[in-house]
Amino acid sequence: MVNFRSVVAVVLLFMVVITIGYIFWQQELRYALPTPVPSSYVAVQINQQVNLPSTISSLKKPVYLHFYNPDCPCSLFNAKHVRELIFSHGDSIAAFVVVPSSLDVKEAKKEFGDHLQILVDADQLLAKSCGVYSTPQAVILDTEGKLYYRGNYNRARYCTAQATNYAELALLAIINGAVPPTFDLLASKSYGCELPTGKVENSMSMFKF
Amino acid sequence: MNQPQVLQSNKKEIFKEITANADRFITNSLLAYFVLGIGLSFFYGTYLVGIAVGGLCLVAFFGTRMLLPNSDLYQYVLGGVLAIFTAQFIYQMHGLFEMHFFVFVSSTILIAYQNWKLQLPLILLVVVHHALFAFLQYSGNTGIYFTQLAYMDLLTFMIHGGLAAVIVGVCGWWSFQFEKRTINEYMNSKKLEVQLSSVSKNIVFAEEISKGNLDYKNDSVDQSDELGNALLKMQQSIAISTKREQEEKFVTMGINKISEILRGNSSNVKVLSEELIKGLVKYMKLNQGGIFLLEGDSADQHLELTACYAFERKKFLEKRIELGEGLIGQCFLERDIIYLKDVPKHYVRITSGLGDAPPSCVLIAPIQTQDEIVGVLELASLYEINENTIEFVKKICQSIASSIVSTKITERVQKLLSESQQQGEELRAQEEEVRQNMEELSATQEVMVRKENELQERMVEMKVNEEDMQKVEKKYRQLTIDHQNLLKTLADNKENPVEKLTELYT
Repeated sequence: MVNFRSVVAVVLLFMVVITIGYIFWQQELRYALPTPVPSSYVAVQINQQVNLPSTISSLKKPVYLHFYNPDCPCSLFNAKHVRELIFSHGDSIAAFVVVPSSLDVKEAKKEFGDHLQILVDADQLLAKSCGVYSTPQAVILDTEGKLYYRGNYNRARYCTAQATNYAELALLAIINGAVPPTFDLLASKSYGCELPTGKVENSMSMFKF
Repeated sequence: MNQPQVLQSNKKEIFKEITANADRFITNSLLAYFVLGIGLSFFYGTYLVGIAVGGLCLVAFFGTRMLLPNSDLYQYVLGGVLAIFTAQFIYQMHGLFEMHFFVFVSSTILIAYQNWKLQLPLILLVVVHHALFAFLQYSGNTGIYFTQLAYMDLLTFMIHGGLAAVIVGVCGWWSFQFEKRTINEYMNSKKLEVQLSSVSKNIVFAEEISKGNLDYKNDSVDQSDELGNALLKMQQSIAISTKREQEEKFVTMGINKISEILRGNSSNVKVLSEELIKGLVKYMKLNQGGIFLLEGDSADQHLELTACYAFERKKFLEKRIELGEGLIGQCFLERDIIYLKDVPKHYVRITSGLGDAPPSCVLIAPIQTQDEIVGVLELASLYEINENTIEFVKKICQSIASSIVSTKITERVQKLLSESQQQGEELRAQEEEVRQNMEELSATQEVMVRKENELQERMVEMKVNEEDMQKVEKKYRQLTIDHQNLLKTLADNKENPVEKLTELYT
C-alpha cells in the first residue's frame, strides 16, 4: 500500500525538479540555442549602409554599438568583456550602449558607468537598421555609416575563448583600417535573448532617424 | 550474526546516532550552501537563481525529510540537491571553473551519512550534465558548452571526468569503509555486551556452584562462551562426583544404620526383622516392605513373613509362602533380585488413611550370604528405585543374612542356655530344698537336743525340786510338828499366849 506521505514526497520532488529545470531553462539553457529569427527580420549585409540617427552618423569615428538588455542573463554574462573593450578602445571609437527601454538606462549606467552614452531604442529601429534581433550583440560601423561587423562577442557565453573574441577582433580591425574580417557562422548567428517588445515606456526614444 | 542480517534488522538502530549527527551537519551545510548562493548572486545579479533554486533545493531536502523521516530517501535527495547547488554556483559564477570543485565538496559532505550509495545521485547528475554537453560538443555541434574554456578537448574532458570519478569514488569508498567500521564497531559492541552478560551470568553461575547449587541452569551458554562451557563442565563433573559421593554416603550411612540395628537386635530374629524392615523402608524413603525368612525343618521348608512395614492386612495375613510360590518364592529359588517397574494394578496397594495407590515399582531381593540364603526382602515404592539403592539393598542383604544366621544361632544358643539355666535353677531349687530339709532336720535335732537338755534340766530340776519338796515336806512336817506344838503350847498357855510366842520365837 502506497503511503500518502510517500506520494506527497514524490509529488514535491517532482515539482521541485520541474521548477528548477524551468528556472535553469529560462535563465540559461534556452540561450544556448540560436535565437529564433523574427519573421520580419531583414538581414543587413556587411558594408551595407545603415540608417543611423543623426547623433551617430555625424560622428567621425567608428561607431561601436552594444545592444544590451539588463533583463537578459546573457547580457550579464559578457558585461565584463564589454567594459574591457570600451575601456581599451574607447579613445578610438565611439561606443554606445543600446537598451530597449528607457527603464533600462539606469541599469545600463550602473553596469557600464555613467560616462557611457546610452541609447534607448524603444521601437527597435536602430536594431532593425543594424540587423540585430537579440542581445547581447555588437555592431561596428565604419566612419561612413556602413556595417562593419554585426554579431556575437565570443563563441563562449562568458567570452572566455580568446581566439573567438569576434567583436574585439573586429574593433581592432576597424581601428587598424582593415577590411571587415570574415568569421565563422558562430559570429554572425545570433545567440542570447530576443529583443523585448511591448515594454512600457515613460519617455520617447532618445534619438530620431 | 553476519553483516547482511545486521543490515536488515538493525541498521536503523546502528546508524541512529550517526544519522542524527549527519542530519545536523547537513542542515548546517545546506544552509551555508543557500547563503553562499545568495552571496554569489551579487557577482552577476543572479538573485532569482540564487534564491529560487537554492530555496527549492532546501524545500526538496527538508520537505522529504519531514514527510519521510524514517526513510533514506531524503539522503538520496541530498545527493541530487548538492549536485543542483553545484550547477547553480557554476551558473552564478558564469562558469567559473573552480565552482566545479563544489562537486568534490559535496561528495565529501555526503560521507557524513556513511552510505556510499548517496554518491550515486550526485555523480549521476554530474555525469548526465557532462555527458549531454560532451555529446553536444563532440557530436559536431560547433557551440561552446564547457563554460569558460575556449574549447575543452576530449583529453581534458576525460581527465576532468576521471578526476571527478576518482574523487567521488574515493568518497564512496570512505563512506563504505566508515559504514563497515560502524557496523563492525556495533557488532563488537554487541559482542562485548554479550560477553559481559555472559561473564555476569557466569559469575552468578560460579557463585551458585560454589554454594553447592548444582541444579542451577545457565541457559545463556553457547559454543563461543568458553568460560561458560568450562563452568558447565565443572558443574557437571562436580554434580557427577557429588552424586557419586551422595550415593556412596547413602550406602555407607545405610550400612552403618543397618549395622546398628543388626548389632542392637542380635538376640531375637523377630525383633531384628521388625527393626530392619522399619529401618530400611524409612532410610530408603520407600513405602512398603516385608521380610520373609526361611522357616521349618528340611521336610517342611517355607518362607514366613517375619516382619513387615505398612503391609496390607490381607497380605499380612498370608504369612506363609512356599518355596517357589509367587515372586517371593521364585526369588528365593533363583537367589537373584527381581525388580518390577510395571507393577500390575492389583498386585499390591500402598494405603493410608486418606487413600491408596499401587506402587510404582517393587523390589524383591534374596537375603543371602555367599553360601546360604535365609529369606527374601520385599520392598515397594510409589517412586522408582534407583540403581544405587538397588545396589545398596544387594549389599545390605548380605549383612542382614549373616546377622540373621548369627541371630538364629544366638537364639538357639540362648534357648539352650536358657534350658540349661532352667535345669540349673531346678537343681538349685532341689538343692535348696534338700538344704532346707537338712536345716530343718538339723533344727529338729537341735530342738530335740535342746528339749533333751531341757528335759534333763527339768529332770535335774525335778530332782532338785524333789529334794526341795522333800525338804519342804520335811520342813512342812517340822512345821506341822511345830504348829502342833504351838497349838499345844497355846492351849497350855491360854492366859498369856503372846509372851509365850515371843519367848518361843526369840
